[in-house]
Amino acid sequence: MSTRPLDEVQARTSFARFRVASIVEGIALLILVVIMILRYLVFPDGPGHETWSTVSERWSPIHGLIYMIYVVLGFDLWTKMRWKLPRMLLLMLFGVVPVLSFFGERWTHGQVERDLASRPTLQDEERGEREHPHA
Amino acid sequence: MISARRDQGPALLVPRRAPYDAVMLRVALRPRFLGLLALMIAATLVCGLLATWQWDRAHRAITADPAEKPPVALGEVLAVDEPVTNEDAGRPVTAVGVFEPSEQVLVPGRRIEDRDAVIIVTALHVTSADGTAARLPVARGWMPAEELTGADGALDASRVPAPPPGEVEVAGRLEASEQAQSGIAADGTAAEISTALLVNAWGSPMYSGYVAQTETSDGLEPMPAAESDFSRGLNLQNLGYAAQWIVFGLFFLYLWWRSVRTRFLDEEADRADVLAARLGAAEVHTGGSTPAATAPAAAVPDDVTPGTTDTNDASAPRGAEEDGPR
Repeated sequence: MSTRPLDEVQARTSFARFRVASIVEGIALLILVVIMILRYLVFPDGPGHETWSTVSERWSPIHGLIYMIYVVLGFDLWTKMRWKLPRMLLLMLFGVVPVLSFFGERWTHGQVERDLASRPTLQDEERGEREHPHA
Repeated sequence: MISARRDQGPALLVPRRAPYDAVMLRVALRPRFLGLLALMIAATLVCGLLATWQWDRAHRAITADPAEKPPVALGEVLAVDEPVTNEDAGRPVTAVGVFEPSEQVLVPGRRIEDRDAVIIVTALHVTSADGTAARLPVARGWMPAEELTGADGALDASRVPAPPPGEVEVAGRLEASEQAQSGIAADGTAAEISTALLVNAWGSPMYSGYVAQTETSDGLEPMPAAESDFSRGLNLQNLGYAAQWIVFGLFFLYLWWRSVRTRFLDEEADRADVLAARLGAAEVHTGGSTPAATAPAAAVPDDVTPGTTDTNDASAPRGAEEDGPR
């Protein structure tokens, strides 16, 4: 991998935001799934169907917005970590499979810490400076 | 000779190379990135298709006006236990039955033609072809609120014109039941035309929608066209979705571009590192004299882009400079 250093502070801040978005998106998606089940399976017709159709029509755009924010924050993390393209697609996928976003967030956290430990970072240079100051 | 080379030394510390964009393009055209580009273009096309689909739905919602369909008998489009679908809402229907004057509610608080209006809803007892009888709420028409208000300021139901007696044919638009938010008040008024409310007051079986009369003969004003919230909502929502899909599609292409750029910047930084390391090493070896003068042409790493140095142009190996150090 490249020697161009990462910025640990930026990366961790970005991950913190992404983690919040992951959890919010995970919950929003579960709500959407429940609404869909109610609309199509539990109340296929009748007055209940009308109710849940309306609820679903209100929630879908809200969830769409939440997912977009999730993708933007995921993109921000992806740029800070300088990962490859397929990983960005993976982050996007985490947000559309119910429940997966929670596991995805754990995995992503692992990747972030692993990369920050093994790849050169700006903070390495600072630490190096402190331990071995230029004479 | 040496002094001439010394003069050219500093130029080598800031490597000149092929134009920035051309080098980015070289990275972009590598097989791996071309493959990823193909994938991203496919994703963008899918998003484009979805955007077109949504756009069509929005367009259709505006142009398909159910009110322009020819009138049909109620029984042909609605059964007693079915709700009025979004496609049927607003279409002209006819129904034959007998009004029941005692089953009537007033729906005040509406704004029609810029006046406070009260809608009169009366039950029409309809007998369908197979003999079953059901009630059909009919919004017979509306009256200005001041014509209905009695001396005491309250609505006076006795001022409402009576419905035509005997068997009549009602013509109007089929509408979906409104959502009930409160009940029927003691004075016989309700806030919504809701079959859920009416069925409690008048009895079942009852159709789950109502007919808004568009031609009346009993002294009431005909019902205005109800703008369906659904169709209005549909076209805005679909336009929104279409826009979202377009943004999404472009995003995939942007992702590809950022990958190319990251790779390019990484390789550039690595090339600079390698060059600096070798210049540093050469300096140590030659005790500070101009590194370029002493480093033989072959020692210029072939992972440095040609055009880096003037003097070494003729002899620096070309090609094979695509893959930077990993």
